[in-house]
Amino acid sequence: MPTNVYTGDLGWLDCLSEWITQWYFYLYVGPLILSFAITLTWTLFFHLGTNITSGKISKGIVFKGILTIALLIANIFIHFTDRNMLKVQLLAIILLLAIWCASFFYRKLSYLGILALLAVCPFWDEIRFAVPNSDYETQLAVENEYYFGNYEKAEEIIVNAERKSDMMIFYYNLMMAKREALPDHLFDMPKQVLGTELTLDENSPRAVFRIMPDFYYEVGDMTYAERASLLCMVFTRNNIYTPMMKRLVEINLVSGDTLVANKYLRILKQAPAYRHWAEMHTPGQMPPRIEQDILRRRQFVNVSDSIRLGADSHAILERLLDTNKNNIVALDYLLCTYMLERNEQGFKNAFYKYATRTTELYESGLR
Amino acid sequence: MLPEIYPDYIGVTIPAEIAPMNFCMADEAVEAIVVDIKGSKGGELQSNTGWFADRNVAQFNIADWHELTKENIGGELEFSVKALKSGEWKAYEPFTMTVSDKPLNDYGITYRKIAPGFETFSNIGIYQRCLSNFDENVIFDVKDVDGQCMNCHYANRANPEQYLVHVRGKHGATMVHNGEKDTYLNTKTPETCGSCTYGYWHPDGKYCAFSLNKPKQNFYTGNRKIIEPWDLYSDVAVLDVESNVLLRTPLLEGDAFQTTPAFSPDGKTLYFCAADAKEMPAEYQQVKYNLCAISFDAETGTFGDRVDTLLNASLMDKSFSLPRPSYDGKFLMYCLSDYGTTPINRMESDLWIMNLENGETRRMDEVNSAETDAYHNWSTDSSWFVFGSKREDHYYSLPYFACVDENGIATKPFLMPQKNPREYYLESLYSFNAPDFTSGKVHLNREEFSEQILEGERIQVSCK
Repeated sequence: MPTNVYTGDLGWLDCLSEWITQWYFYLYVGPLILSFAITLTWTLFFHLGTNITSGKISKGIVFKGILTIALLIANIFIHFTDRNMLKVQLLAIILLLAIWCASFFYRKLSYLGILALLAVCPFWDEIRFAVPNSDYETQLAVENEYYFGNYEKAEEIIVNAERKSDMMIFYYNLMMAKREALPDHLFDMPKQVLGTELTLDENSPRAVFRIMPDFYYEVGDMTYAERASLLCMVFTRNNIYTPMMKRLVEINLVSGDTLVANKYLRILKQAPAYRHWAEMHTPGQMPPRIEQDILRRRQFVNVSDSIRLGADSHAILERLLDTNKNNIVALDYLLCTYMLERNEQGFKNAFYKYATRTTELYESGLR
Repeated sequence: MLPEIYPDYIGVTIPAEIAPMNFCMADEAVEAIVVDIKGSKGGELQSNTGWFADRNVAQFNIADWHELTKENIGGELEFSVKALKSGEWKAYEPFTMTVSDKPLNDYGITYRKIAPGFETFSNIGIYQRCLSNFDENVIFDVKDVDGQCMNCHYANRANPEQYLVHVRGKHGATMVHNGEKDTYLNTKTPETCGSCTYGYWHPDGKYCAFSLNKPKQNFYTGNRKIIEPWDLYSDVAVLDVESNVLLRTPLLEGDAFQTTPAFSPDGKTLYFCAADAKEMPAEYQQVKYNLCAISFDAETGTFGDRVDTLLNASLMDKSFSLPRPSYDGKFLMYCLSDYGTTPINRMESDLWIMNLENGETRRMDEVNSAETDAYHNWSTDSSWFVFGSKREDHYYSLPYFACVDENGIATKPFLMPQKNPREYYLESLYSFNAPDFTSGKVHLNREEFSEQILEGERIQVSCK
């Protein structure tokens, strides 16, 4: 049973917010829902305010007032369930009550406004206002386009971006690696971020949790990708984060772990927005394109029964190449990492041991 | 043809006190299900078909269910299933559940619910669940302890008035709840290799045996395994919870690894697992734990002068873990896996049982699965046991129950019943860690507990 039938885990308000959020998956639907909610809330609030200040108090106003307050409190509960935010919730309630009381004093509203402001002061640290950050928006756009598989569009956004964040460069390199063109584009960006320099542990920033599943899925290390995806899910509401759950489905299909893949698929099928994707990835129903991709990746899976003694990406990539030397993505990442580290001996050892192809960049490294 | 149902309750043995064994068809395309139950000793019951009933789940009224099960103690319930699919009703061959004549006298079970993050966590809590209905309550969760990790709840023979819990991290403490009194301990001492970890109460409630571990973990490279937890050091000691003194013996310390202690029901023997020291983590696969025992005198708080090896790991090239004697002293249940000390992470882990009267031991094939089976605990009258199993999906550990007869033979295990089992289990991304029975509801003042954890003082444990 939910701890709180309205706002607790699986409470109806919680479920409602989850249900509404799923539609953000579709282009323009998210902004549309948000705009509608904000417009509705503030229209009611404005209407209430004008009626109060003009001294008209009717049943209709009372109804609108209650509706407005309910909407605001619901919004607060949905968005600020953290215990520390309780103060903000109380503050909001105090403010609303103050405005409500103001309807009985009309023009003395300003005094109550001052009181409300005084009430705000002790909690000022907890109230933050933010201005739109176009860098974040661009970064989010890159992540989204990559998530939806629109690689060309993601690449275009990165290339045209005025400021290129580490995450954007990481995704640019990942897309080049998928195209088996990483060595040819390694120096396209003002700095180099491959992902091999990042480690995954309990102290890693959440941004690292987010990108690691993509990185290790592409290089073929399914256990590492799974670990990173699970870590990423841990910090989400109800432990469900759809992009990571989809990634977990793919990982387990590649690993041949259909039992748990089916569990995730079943959950995804509950949401109309993800049902089609889930059906396309259900064993036995997969279209040839998806099935072939799964089978291709399965060739690269590391099946050695040993433990990692560190988070060193060189060792991870080498173990993958020990399993299958045709893993070009892993090979390129390994060799490019050595090159960026200016580790000449490491590069040459890896090249002579694993390289199944050469490029202009690698040739220059061998000289 | 028998119906394929979820959970698989066909042929299981249940206590009369258990909550309704609601189930659904395994085929999710089934639109509706109607079930008629007939008791071999009388009584009938039909699944709920009212306006508000879930059409595709066979759910039973709790009071009517208990009336039926109590009427049929020692008998059988016959379930006739009819399912609607693609507009057609289909009747299946009836199946049975046996109502055991052994009662389940405990209130419910406690467990830790955690999402598998391995390195970190967010939603984690210690829960309790009433077994005669579907009530699940939080005992405390991560919000009470400022986002810190917590270990499982260890009760003295399922006693809700005597238990302990560990909280890890910045505000770490071991809270010992003893009747009305709560004590918050710092169990790390300069003389010991780590903090108190795996606990087990002495039956008289004055002592609690602990393993003192310095735990580490590594991740696997492949082969469907994720994580290998291991101990850099591990010793066993007994905490006197009245004087807060750790009682030690050189026989349970040193380079070798000792872990997961458990007292015999008479309190005179301390079971534990021990392995030769290895270079860790390089030799992690060579760490094989023997099942051992040492005598303990509760009067003087002293250990015996020798360790007996009950089961030798090297003879089987396997590793023993988690010895749990039944409270009636007849059996010792434990886990067997290829190596190491955390069977929950070992797919090959199985439950074994030893008859303590004649020393015979055997694998419990009647309850084990191809996936992990571990973390077992006995009901207070030793007729039932609960254990965690990953048989559903290889990943998430869920609580199963089975009944044991006087020869140590168990019945087919059943998954803890839920109001809507498909929704509860198949849509959950949580594991149920270390389930254990509780004879009554655990009452913890969460506000006070939180305050004590975050701001309270710790009593420093000393060593003897």
